[in-house]
Amino acid sequence: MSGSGVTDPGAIAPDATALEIAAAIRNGAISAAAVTEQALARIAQRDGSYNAFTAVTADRARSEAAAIDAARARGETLGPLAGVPYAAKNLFDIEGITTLAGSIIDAGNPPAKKDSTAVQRLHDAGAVLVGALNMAEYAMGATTENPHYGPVHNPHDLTRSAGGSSGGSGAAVAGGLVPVALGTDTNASIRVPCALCGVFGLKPTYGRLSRRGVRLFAASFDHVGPLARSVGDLAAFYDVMQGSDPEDVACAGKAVDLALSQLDQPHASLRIAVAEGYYAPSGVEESLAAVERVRQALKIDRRIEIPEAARARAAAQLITSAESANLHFDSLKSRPMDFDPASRCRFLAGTMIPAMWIEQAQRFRHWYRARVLELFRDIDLFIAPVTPCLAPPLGREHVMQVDGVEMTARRSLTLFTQPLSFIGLPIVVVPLQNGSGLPAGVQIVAAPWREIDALRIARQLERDGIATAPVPAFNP
Amino acid sequence: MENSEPFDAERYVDAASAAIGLTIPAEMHAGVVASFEQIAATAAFVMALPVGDEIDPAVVFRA
Repeated sequence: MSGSGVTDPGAIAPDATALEIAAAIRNGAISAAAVTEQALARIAQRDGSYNAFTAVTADRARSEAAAIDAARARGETLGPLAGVPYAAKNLFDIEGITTLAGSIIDAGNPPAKKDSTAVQRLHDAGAVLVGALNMAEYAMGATTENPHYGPVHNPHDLTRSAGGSSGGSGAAVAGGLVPVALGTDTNASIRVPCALCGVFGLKPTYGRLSRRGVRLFAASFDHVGPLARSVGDLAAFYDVMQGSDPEDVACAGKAVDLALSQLDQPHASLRIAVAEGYYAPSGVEESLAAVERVRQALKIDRRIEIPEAARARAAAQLITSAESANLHFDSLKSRPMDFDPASRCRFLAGTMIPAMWIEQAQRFRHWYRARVLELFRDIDLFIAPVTPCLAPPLGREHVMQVDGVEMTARRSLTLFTQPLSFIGLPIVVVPLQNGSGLPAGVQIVAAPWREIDALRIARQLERDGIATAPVPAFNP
Repeated sequence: MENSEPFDAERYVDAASAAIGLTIPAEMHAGVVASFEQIAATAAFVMALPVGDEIDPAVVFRA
């Protein structure tokens, strides 16, 4: 639930949580400037091994920290995240730097004129932005082996993938460079890095958080969310980013439902089930072992099957291909060789998908939503694995058998995530450590707009020591 | 996609790319055809489930 915190006067531990740091700054145990310098020094020392950052915003961070310290000196009330360092996937607009979205094509664009809504709201809450994070090009890919900016290395084993597409976000948090990072999730991209890097993550309900100023991948499914080493930090960042935004047409304008203050309040017992069938194939025993540990810890005896989950994944793939190809059509026509060789043929093929197939996929999406929502009449939450394997090695295809079907890790990493984001369900990923040294993740899936239910169960698992996100030893 | 003849992805890709003004580099042609074959198989799976005329598409638009 908490890290080593502020261990000595004027020093923060790499595993200090955002809430511990904010409290220490608020009570004068340390200055925001000192926290910022330590975060920048840690990035300089360690990121050569992780390759999580594509830009370090040192000037901005020092300026934001100085403003916090000055406000405190004047006796002003500080924001809830005052002085907390964080970083954002490099598809979030950050005023003054170019939004790369993992590409070299966008590297020629002018710097962003203003912050994305998420970054703006975190600034207003006092958070200190220390940099932009590496990712799969245009968010297409679950391993973050970026051909332009290099692969992101998993802090638990530098020879392995940190997942993707928010790979830099997962590695930066897992490696203790920042307590919290922003990511995005279209089909898997917050959840897979959380599972492979062993950190907590929240993919809220589709439409909960504004995506204004975020380079989209597939607008039907794009979500913004935090990755962190504690549930409290997830909730604190989520709370600050909530609220309507007329500049994102998908932002639903729901009433703010503050989570942090509710995490430990008494609440009605929640009915939880384990997803089976599609979610329990052969060949994924390490992932299912993590689900079983959570099942036992929560004493779950209900079981459900998600109807047509495989078809949901197929429909999500179609819509994603068509929307992302449309978004990049001009570049696909004018400079196709500048795209990632691993994904450019898929992008090109996506430009030619008949509308007939997409309309059917979008109609199926409504049909499937209704079937899945029926399940929530009898349950509040269900749990499921995040990935079919632990962190795969970088630089070569890891081939596995899932229910007797051979598939590469690269293609199968979204197997369990895609049918759920397809209908925008809120999901918290909890990390479990095991003897292999590589973590596994479990999805806690709630009904639409019930993020708080998933966060409360994640908090319970964290409090009971089942879900943990320790910073591994740094062995460059 | 219940065609009476097998789907010819290469022929479709060549015709569709011409229709939308997309020039596919020669070295990517085979990869694009293979990707489209995958997409077509995925679409066939989705199309195989009838959902009923009363089901609207799940798009987001607010006037």
